[in-house]
Amino acid sequence: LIKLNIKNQNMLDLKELERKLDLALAQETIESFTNWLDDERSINYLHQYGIGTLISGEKISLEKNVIEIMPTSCVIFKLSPITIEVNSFTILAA
Amino acid sequence: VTRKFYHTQESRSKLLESPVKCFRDDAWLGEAFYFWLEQIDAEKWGFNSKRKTEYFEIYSSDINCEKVLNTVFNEEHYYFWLKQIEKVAMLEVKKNRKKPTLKELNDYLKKRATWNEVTGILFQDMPSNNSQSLIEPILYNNNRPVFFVYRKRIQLAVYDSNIISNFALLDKIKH
Repeated sequence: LIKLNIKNQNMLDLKELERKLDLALAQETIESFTNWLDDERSINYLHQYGIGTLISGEKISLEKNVIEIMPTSCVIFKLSPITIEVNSFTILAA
Repeated sequence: VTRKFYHTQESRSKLLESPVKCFRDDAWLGEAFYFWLEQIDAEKWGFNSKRKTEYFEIYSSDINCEKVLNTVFNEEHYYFWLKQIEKVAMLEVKKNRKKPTLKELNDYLKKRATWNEVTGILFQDMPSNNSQSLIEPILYNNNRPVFFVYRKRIQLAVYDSNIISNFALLDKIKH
């Protein structure tokens, strides 16, 4: 049983995980890291509204923000201070 | 390797067929399916945080923990995880910006460092409600009780839904 437990604990290759992280960090510039973090925060903001399907031509108010649904396959989120284009009609919605 | 875990959600008109992924900004370990290791914590979470409807539901699941980073019971995993989190955080601190959240750090490990082989992270915090503590609190001069929090509150953040099986309703509880 002890041998089995030790084996189970080593199923993840920690050295490989560390190598991949170190490589990512070595290639990271302050700008690239900041951009990634800003993108993550923007996406997280949108995710909190859930997932749904919107109908073309509608407008949906999210508190002070408005999502405009364009009559094309392109949807623009206008969420101050960011604008995100999404090429799909299955998008995040309230 | 497979263990039983518990998932708490609001009670809706339809029963869940699979767990709900959490995207919330305040989710400790990033975008994941969150489970409790102990049913008592799943119930407390329901009573405290799933209050939008009259009932909440607890689902049980079997989860394969073979490739889960076990920061609660595996010392090697814990110190490894701590070191990696602090490495990423230092990058942010150096720039003198707002400190990153734990969620952002974990999302970085998952997405930027492509830790796709990590199927989940077992982690702990301490329960804030001490009503079920079996140990008398210490009373200081201001009569404020200070509890010794001896019980871990353990959660699993699952990133790969393939490790979840036998997801089924366990209990429906009224507030």
